[in-house]
Amino acid sequence: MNHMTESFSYVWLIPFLPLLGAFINVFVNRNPRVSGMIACATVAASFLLALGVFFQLIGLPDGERSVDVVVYSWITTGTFAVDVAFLVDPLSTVMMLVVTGVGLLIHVYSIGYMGKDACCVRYFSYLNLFMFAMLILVMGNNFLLMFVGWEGVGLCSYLLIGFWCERRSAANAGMKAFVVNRIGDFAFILGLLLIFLYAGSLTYADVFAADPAVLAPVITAITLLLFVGAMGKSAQVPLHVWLPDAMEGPTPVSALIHAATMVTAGVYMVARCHVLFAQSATAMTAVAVVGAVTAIFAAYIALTQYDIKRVLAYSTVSQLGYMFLACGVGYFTAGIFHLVTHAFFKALLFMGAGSVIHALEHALEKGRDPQDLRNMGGLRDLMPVTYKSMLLATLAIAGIAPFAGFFSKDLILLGAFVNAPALWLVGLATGAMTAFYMFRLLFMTFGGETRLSRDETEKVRESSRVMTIPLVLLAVLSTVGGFIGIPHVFAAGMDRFGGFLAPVFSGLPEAQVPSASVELTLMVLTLLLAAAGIWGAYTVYIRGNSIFDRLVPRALYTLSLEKFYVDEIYDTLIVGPVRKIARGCWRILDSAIIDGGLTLAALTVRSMGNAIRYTQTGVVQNYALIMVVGALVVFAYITGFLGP
Amino acid sequence: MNTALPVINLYAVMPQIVLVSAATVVLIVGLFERFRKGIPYLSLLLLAVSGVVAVNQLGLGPVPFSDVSSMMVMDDFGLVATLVFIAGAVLTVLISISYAEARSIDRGEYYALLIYAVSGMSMMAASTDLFTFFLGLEVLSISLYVLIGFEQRDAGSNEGALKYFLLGAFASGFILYGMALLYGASGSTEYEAIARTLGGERSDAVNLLLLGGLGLLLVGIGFKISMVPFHAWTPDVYQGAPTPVAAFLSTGSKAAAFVVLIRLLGSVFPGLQMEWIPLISVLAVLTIAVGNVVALVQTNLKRLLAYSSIAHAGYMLLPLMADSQDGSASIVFYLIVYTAMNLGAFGVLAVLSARGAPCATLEDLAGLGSRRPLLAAVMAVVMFSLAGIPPTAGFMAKFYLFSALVHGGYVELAVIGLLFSGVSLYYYLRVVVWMYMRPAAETPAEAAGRLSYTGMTALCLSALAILAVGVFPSELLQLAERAVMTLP
Repeated sequence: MNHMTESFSYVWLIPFLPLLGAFINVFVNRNPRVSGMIACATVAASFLLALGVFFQLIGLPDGERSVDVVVYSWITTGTFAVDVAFLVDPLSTVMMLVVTGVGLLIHVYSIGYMGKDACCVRYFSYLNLFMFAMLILVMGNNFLLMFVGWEGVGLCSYLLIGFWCERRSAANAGMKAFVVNRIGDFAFILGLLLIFLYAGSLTYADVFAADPAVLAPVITAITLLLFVGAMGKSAQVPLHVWLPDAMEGPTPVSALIHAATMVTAGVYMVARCHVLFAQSATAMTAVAVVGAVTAIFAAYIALTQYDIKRVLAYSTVSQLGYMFLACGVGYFTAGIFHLVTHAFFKALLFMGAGSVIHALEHALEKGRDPQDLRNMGGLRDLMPVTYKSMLLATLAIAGIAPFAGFFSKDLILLGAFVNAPALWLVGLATGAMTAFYMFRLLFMTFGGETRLSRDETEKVRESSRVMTIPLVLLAVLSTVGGFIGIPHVFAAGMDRFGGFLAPVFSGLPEAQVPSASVELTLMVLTLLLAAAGIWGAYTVYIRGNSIFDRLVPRALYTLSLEKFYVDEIYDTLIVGPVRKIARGCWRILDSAIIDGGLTLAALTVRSMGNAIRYTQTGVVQNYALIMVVGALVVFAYITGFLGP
Repeated sequence: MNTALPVINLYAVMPQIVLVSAATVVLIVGLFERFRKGIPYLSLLLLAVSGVVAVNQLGLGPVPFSDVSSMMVMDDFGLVATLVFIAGAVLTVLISISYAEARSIDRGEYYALLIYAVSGMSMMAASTDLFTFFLGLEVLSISLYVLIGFEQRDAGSNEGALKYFLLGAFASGFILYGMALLYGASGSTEYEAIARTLGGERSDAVNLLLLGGLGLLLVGIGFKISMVPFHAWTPDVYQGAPTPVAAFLSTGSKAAAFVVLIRLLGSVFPGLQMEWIPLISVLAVLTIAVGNVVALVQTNLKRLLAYSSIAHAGYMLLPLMADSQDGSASIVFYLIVYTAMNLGAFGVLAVLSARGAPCATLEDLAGLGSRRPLLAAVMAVVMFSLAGIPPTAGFMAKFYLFSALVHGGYVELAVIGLLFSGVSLYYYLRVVVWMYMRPAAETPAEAAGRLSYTGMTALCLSALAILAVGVFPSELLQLAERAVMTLP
């Protein structure tokens, strides 16, 4: 064990390098052109190191692929001891690779997207800081370190959503994300406290090895609290409201934080704690149900949105729902698999959307929204690279074989079919809706007649290389990325991904597998429904057939367009009353009692300060006198002990 | 009659010997005009050499200077203290270079006196006899009198030197009388002998002598650490002294006095605990209160830091009451951190004042955050640390200090200390607010152009050290614990 720990002793560099980059950009570098390069170079180095970890890990026998690397002991007080230590195992390695790999591409893309922004030094330092926090989150070997990363990514998300803080809506969106996340974080902290109280430690190894009988009285509470934390971070219903608003941030941020990495932290956490979740059937059911409900709910809203980034945001919420559904039915590998493929295609979709927005920002007349699908159309020939790569990503997310999303989604649906047929139906329906809204987005953006004026059309340009190359690379990954996990029915033993993760989830009961014919039937069914969704989108948005207008009742449409009025409900039920109470508290408690008291105290202290200041005459004789008086007092006191 | 010569162990006082020789070498080389530029670097080198000597002796256990009368002892406590003084002196030299050049005070004597002062401090830390203690104290004090008045053409510098000299002489008088009384009671100047007298049966007269001696010593040492009511000189002298000297004065000389205090109260006067504990606790609380409250209304930065240093002296007095190894260790830890923080704070002012007008008031800092981002960042770190906000070393130092106090059963003192620590947030953060949230004046007080490299190196080093200790406190704490372990 010892020599292995040593051979991984360099892993601390992986999170540290981006932190160093952030530090340089904050304190040393003033040059905007250099800032992007510093940021990219540090993330690239981390990515290479993560690759090194990966190859080193697969060189080890299965049983030894879990190494704790202690960097130093962080806090030691009495019974409470926490190390800064990293856990290198297949799960954390997968996360490291996704975070640094996709993160690197997004960093490169950002040079093109944000390079001209006046505050791009600040942007890149936030972005690097985010990488640091995210890597700490996925690499820590204890809950406290995970919590540090958890709060760190929350902070960076807040800073980056509100990056253009002169825009009021951006500042508000940042605040909303922060406040909604706080609800989840609060539950998360309570969960950690319960774990510490009952398991007596916060280190994964100790907690997961704890006797189930000891944890039994609180295991459901612990897992549900942890899951509420995950719901906040991963935008699950009903805590999903912050994610669509988070689109106020720069688009690469949406790709990195609000699609590929941070929002998946909840899924990672649930998978990491699978030992705990597996002990509570209630929690597992809750995870599965919340996941399935979120998947279909968000997909339904995405059907009618017109803002290109909002469609993608609801799509992200929906896909995250899939991942939780997978975890809830015990298919943790499927959840992580979908996390990986989703990182590829959703990052690509966001960056493609960013490319379109970037082009239209310069082309559209003043007052026309460059994010509104109704202002697009026919961009296929004007932006060929963006179009082709987005097409591949759309096929992937729609679950068309053999693109990446097909394999992971198929595995999730299989798990749902075996363990919870009702939820399987929900997932199936969501699949059809996904295909519909994603192709709706693709057709409205690139297909059909253009809705740009001639002047505007002439100004549309394909984005620069620095932006399109990451798109192409991700397009390749979205196309072939699924082959790392080929299902058993097609080729035995080719599920490399499942095999790699197997040691992590080895403690779970063997998953039931239906017969090959059932599995194939399910696949065909999924594909048919996806094709139906695509056909529907084609009919409506390319052929201009208004069949849905006639068939679908107006109310259903409005419900989707208005996002089920969730924000309005929260405003009336929670935000409004809380505000009233807060105002009352402010008037009576704060202004009158506390502020008044504080002002009084401050005035008293200040006037004391002023009074004592008068003894500071600057005349040396006075000082000597003070000393003599002081000495006399000391003397009088001390001799007083002699007594009579 | 046989008279055996005492066996003298020069190895036990090697750090002090090296320091004194280093100062003398610097003094002699400084006579040659052509070496003028190299003097600070020579001083750094020689300080480093003495540091290495001290490090090599760490862990060798108490070695007395001679077998007859101990006079001085070589133990981890004295060595760690010496290392802290040397580190403080190194930082002081680094921040002095550009400051001294700009004011034409970069003469060899300046650096030589600095090293002489360190040798005096080191002697105080190693002394186990009132004689050597007083000898070290005077070597330190006389060097400081000259250093404070080193800017001969500056009225403030002269005024400061005279004040410190007059009041310092006064305080030395108290100490000497105190020593005389203690000698009268025990017939010896050795700490051990005095402790023995205290331990045995004592008549009322002996008691009077001992108590009086202790009281007078406390007055004198209280002067050195600026304990209220013997603190009045502090703001005036800091304000007048050349800024690097003020930095040295506020850290090194105070630390040396504290080290002596820990040795005296811990190993000589525990028998009089009933008497001195209430006295010191009242004075400590007064010191904390006066320092923090008066700092609130200061606008001159050096005066603000002076009151802040008074307040910190008050905090450091508190764990003496706990009378435990933890308590002493927490003081040593605090002293180390405090040295880094205060040198950083004064260092920023010294580097800023090196060219052009001195950076004197809060207004002069306005807009520093955008004008000099790195320097402002260092200052912000130092201020957060002084205020005791995590993840800085200042937080850890306060944490250990107050936890030792609570373990010792002095919860109410800890609460008072924490409350005033809250008050201090106001004036420390005010500095940060001025740097980052106030627009710069039309013409900034300090001249444009690059800042001194050596000064910036020292500042970045102390800021990094502050952050590093704030995150990784255990190593330094172990060092502090090891140091106090050798105390009897």
